[in-house]
Amino acid sequence: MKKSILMLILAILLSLPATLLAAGGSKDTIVYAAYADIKDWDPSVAASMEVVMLSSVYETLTVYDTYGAKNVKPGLATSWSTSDDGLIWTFNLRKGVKFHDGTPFNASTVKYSIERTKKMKKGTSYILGAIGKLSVVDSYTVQVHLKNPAPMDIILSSQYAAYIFSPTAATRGTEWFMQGNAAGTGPYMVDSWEKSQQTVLKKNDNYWGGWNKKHFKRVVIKVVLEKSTQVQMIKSGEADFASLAPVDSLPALRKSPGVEVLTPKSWKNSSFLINTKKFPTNNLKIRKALQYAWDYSAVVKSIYNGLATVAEGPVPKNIWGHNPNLPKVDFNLEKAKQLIAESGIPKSQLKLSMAYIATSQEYENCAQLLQANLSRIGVQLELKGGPWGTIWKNAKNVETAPNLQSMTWWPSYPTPNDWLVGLFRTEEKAVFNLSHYSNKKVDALIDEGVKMEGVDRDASIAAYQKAQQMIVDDAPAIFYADLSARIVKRKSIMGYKNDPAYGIFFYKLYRQ
Amino acid sequence: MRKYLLKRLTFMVLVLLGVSIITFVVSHVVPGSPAAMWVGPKPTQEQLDAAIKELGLDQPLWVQYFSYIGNMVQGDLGVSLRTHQKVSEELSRRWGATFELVTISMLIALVLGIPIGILSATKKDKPFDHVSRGLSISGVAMPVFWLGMILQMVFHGTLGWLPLQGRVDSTVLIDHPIEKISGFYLFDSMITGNWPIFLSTISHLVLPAFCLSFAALAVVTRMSRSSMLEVLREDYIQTSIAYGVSQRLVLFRYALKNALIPTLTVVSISYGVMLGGSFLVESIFDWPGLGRYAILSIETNDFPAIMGVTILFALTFVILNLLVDLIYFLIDPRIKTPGE
Repeated sequence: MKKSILMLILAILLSLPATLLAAGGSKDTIVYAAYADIKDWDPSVAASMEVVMLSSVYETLTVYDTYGAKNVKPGLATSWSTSDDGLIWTFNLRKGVKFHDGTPFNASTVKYSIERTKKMKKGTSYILGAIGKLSVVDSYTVQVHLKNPAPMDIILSSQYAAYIFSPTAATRGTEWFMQGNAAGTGPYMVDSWEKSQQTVLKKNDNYWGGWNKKHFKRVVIKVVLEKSTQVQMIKSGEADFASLAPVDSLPALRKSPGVEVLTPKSWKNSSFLINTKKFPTNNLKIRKALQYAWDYSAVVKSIYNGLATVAEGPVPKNIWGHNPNLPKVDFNLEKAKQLIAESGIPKSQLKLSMAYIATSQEYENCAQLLQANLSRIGVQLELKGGPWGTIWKNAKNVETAPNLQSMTWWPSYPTPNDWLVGLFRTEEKAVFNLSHYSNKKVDALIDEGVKMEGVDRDASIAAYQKAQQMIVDDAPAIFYADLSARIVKRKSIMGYKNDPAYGIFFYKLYRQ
Repeated sequence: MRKYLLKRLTFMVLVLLGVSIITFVVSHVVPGSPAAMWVGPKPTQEQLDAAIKELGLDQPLWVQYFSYIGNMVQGDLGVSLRTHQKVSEELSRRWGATFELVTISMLIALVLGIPIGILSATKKDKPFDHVSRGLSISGVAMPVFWLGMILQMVFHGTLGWLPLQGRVDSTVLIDHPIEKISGFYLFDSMITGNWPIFLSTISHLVLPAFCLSFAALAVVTRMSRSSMLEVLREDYIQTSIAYGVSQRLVLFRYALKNALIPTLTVVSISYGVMLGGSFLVESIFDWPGLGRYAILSIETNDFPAIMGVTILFALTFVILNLLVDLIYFLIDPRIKTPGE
C-alpha cells in the first residue's frame, strides 16, 4: 500500500516537467499575455483592451494604412467613392465572404452593423455621429448618407465601433456576446473563453484571405495580471507577447536570449493642461512661463526612460496633419522668470495647483520636478495626486479645477482632429477640454478641417495646422511627451509590424 | 439546542446586514466616479449622464441601498463596473477556485501541523522541537507575497519543476476541456476521469497552496504542541503511563482528542486568515479566485463587486464559526449548550 502511494507521488512528480513543456507557444499556437480579461464582447460596445481579440475576429470596411502612401486600403470594401459635397459615400463590398455563423456578408449586414452601433450610443460610437442613414443600393453596394461632411473612409477603418458583424448573431443581443460569443468575418473565430483565465481563438477555415502553412492555427490570449509573472513567461518562452513588462525590466529583457523589445512610436501623447479660466493661469504670460519651467529633455530621458520623445504641439508628430513648423519651447528658467515679471502678478499671489493620476509614477515624478524648478523662481506649486475619477470630476468645474491637469490622449479613429476637438475645442460644459480653453477662431479652423477631411485632405491639413499654431500661441498646455509603445515579444515571432492604428493582427504573424 | 441554533442564525443575519451597510456606505462615500468607469476611457457627456441614470447614482444613498438589498434577496448582485459581468456569476465561478486552494492549504497545514506538533511535544527541547519552532517562527514572520515570489523564482525560474501561474495549463485546458460540476478542478477532473487536467491542477496547486498554508501550518504546529503538552501533564495521562499503557495508545487515543479542541479553534481562525491571505497569494499566482477579484475590485472601487465579495466572505466566515462551535459538541460532550 505504502509503496503504491509512493509510486503515484513519484509518477506525478515526474510528469510535472512534461506538463510544463506543453505550456508555451508551439508552431501552431501563439500565446499573448494580456493584462486583463476581455471585457466587452459586443463589438458595438467595446472600447478598451478588447482590440486584441476584436481585430482578429472582426473586420472593417476599410483598413487604415499607417505606413502606406494612401490613408486607407481595402478591407471588407474593395473600393469606394464620395460625392462632390462629401455627403454620400458609396462602398463596393467584397463578394463571397461569410460570417463565422454562416450568414453571408452583404450590404444589408453592413447597414445593420453600423446602424446598431450608432443607435446603441456605447463605447466610441460617437465617431459615427456624422452618419444620417445607410442605404442598400444592391447586394454588394452600400451608401452612407452624412448629415455633415466627414472622412467616412478613415472613420470606418477604426479599431472600435466600425466592425461589421452578423445580424443573425447580433439580434441575440449584448447578453449573448457577453457569454464569450462572436460572429465576425475575421481570420480567427472564438473557440473558447475561460473567464478570467484565457480566450482561445481558432482559425476560420473559410477566411477569404486564405491560409498557408505559416499561419498560426490557434491564438491563446492568456490573462496574466502580475507584471513580474509576464516577465518570467516571456523569458521562458511560455508567452510570445507580454503586454505588461514594466519599464525597469526592459534592460534585462533586452539581454535575455530569445526576447525582443521594441519601442515604436505610438499615437498617444501626454500633456499637462493649463487652466485658462482660473487665476493666475488665466494670464498668458504665466502659462508661457510654465512652459519654460518644464525640463523637457530630462522628463523624456530620465522619467520616461527614453520611452517618449519631446512633443511638438497638441498633435503627435507621427500622425497625419501634425504641424512640423511649430515654435519650439525649451527649458529656460531665466525666461520663465522674465515672463512672470512681465505678467505683473506679484509673487505672493503665485500659488498654483497641479492634479494628476497618483498611480502613475511618471506623472508623479514630472510634477515633483516642475515643483522643484518653480520653487527656484519663487513660484509655489501644490501637488494633488488622486484617482482619475476624482481629479477628473474636480477638473471639469472651474471652481474646483487645478491650474494644471494631467492628460494622456489617443485618437478614437486615425485623425488629428481627435486632439483638437476633444481637448481644445470650446465646450459649454467641459468634458475633456480641461484647460477650459475657448478660442472662436480655433473652433472655426477645427470645424473647417473636420468638414474638409473627407473631401479635400490637403485643405483639411492646412486648417488643422493653422489651428495647432494658434493653440500653441495661446499656451493652454505643457505639451511634453509623445509616447512610445512597449512591445515585448519572442524573437522567433516573425511578421510583426507595430501599427498605432490597431492592436495586433495575429493573422500576419508566424513562427520561425 | 434548537433555541441556540435559532439564536445563532438570527445573529448571523444581523452581522451580515451590518457588514452590508458598512461596506455599502464606505464604497459609495469614497471619492471616485463609478459612471466614468462604467462607460470606458473616452466618453461623451451624454454617455456619462446615461450611465449615472443606468446605475441609479442619481438616487439618494438609502434608496440605492434598499434597492440593492431588494435585488440581493432575489439573487441579483448587480453588474461589475470593471468587468461588465454579473457579480453573482463571477462569484459563483471564482468560489470554487478560492475554496479549492484554501481547503487544500488547510489540509496541508493540518496533515503536517498536527503530527509535527505532537512530535515536538513528545520530544520537547530536543533537536526536532527546535527545528519545528524555527520553522514556525519563520512561517508567522515571513510575508506571504515575499514567500510566493521566492517559491516562483526557485521552483519555476531555477529548477523549472512547477508552473508559474494560473490554475491549470492553457494548452491542457484547450485539449481537455473541463466539465464543471463542483467548481473544484481536482474533484471534477477526478470523477470525469480527466487525468491530464487532474495532474495539471495538482502541479499548479503546489506552490500557491504551500505558500498559503505556511503561516497556518506554523500556528497549527505551535497550538497542537502546547495543548498536547498541557494534556500530557494531566493526571489521567500520567496514570495511564504509570500503568504501562503503550505510548501510541496514550498519545492518539487519550491525549489527542482533548488536545484537539484548542487546535480546532485556531483552525477556524486560520481558515479566515487564509481567506485573507488568498488576496495576496491569488494575485501573485494569477489564481482566478475571489481574492484576486476582491483586490481588483477594491483597486478600481468597483462597488457592486466589492459588496458581493465582502458579503460572501462574511457569510463564509460566520458559517465556519458556527460549524466549529457545533463540532466542539461532537468532540467534547462535556461542553454543554447554554440553557441545557
